Amino acid sequence: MFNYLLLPEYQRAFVAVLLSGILLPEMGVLMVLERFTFAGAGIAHVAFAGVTLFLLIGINPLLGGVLFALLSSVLMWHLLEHKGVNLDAGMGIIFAFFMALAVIFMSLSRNYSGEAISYLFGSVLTVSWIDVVLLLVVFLLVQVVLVAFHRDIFLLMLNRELAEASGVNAKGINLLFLILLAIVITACMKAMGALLVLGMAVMPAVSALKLKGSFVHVIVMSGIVGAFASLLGFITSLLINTPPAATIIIITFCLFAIVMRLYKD
Amino acid sequence: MQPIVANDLTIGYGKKTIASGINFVLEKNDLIVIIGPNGAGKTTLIKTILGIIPPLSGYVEVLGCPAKHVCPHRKRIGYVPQIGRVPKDFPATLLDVVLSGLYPHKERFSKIGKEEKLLAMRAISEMGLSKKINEQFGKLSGGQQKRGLVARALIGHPDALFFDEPTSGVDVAAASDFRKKIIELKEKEGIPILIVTHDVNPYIPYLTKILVIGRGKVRVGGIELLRDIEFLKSVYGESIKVLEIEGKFYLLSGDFHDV
Repeated sequence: MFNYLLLPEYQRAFVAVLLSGILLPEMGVLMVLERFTFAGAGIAHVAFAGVTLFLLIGINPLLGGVLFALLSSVLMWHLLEHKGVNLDAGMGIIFAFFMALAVIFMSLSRNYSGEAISYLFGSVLTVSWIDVVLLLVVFLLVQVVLVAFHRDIFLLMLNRELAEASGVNAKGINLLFLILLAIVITACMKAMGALLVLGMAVMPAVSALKLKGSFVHVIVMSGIVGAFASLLGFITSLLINTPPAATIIIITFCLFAIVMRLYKD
Repeated sequence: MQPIVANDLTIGYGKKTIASGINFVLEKNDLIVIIGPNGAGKTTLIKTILGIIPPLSGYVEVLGCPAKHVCPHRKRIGYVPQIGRVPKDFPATLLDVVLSGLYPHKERFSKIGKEEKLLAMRAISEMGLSKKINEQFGKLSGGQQKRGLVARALIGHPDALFFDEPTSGVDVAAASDFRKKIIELKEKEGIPILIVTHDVNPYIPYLTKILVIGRGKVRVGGIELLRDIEFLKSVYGESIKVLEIEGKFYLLSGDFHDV
């Protein structure tokens, strides 16, 4: 099995899985506490529509993914902050529309539908070094933002009025969070798949929340749980020859179930 | 310097005016109780003073500084909002929540020191929660969470304290205990206090002013305001009745919801 890790595509996959396994749960903690979980699912599907469109017109699909994801983030933020629309309801509308677009784009580009499917379910062995560098940049960006704004985010999650009375720019923090979520989801999409990123974000996050501790401790723990689950899942997939992203999600679910069993209230 | 001065203030959201012509001063040793029907603008008034939403016209000064989003003096007001129930697995102990009261006073990358932790422990102890210091905040009772938030407000040595519905969602015994703490803060510490509430009676012996707000009307005065039935009808509606029994006032509406 260790022979695999001497091959460049497996080395790239290993790093991509590790970085996604830390990044997604870190964002997952914020998604769960802010009740933006469905927004995360929606952004992933909108990003997938962007991928299919750019595959159809022959431009780098990740660029299409990130543009669409950012657009949906800003739109959601606008609906949330200026129109008072419930994010879940708003996302339900956007989600269905963009998924329908993705299906149409895929049907128009039959030559690329296989590649499009790889973004839907994840294809970690096809990530390039550019994808890995991009993931690393996003990873560093998220760590800097979390260190710089963790107090503002904490207050916002505790109570919005309390945060605003303490000088926190709640609208600004929510916009920053949604933009970051769009970037993280797109960056992790090739490794984990649009359909599976949500599981990787939420399950380690909920597990870390069950383990308790301070806000910073929970974010760090979610990254550790996610990294462990994703590496274990990746190695398992190599051993039993199953799709990596799907295997990672199943291992993550098993860990989640164990934590839920051990840390009952 | 007077902690709060509101002059011909109009409050509302966007283009919608909720109340106008608001004039009052919160002075040192004041305890002002704000009452009015649901949706009257009580919380909007507090949010305007805190600079969370801008005034539509007029002005409000906080410790001599016009209350805008950037007003640095805003952090010198301790605010205890209606917080609802915090989820049980919210990742913070009582100590974490109380220490967050120092965040507005800290530089972005600075650390919380030992002395500040001692300060937090003292504030927690003053609120009678020493045994709960390391408990998950979400697992505390409603009353304990409220007291925790007061400790959070006190840790920043506020020049004034604002409470929004301080006893909502708290059982009768805990509410009484909590009110005693509020009154103690005014009587012993001399901190001026502004309270939004539906139940004025517990504060009658201690309040210095009442601000009644509703249906766009605002008046500030003493307890005699509650004897002005015509004014109260214009605020609460024609069906309002006021019973004065042994110095306590009971406002009853047609459907007998007490306020």
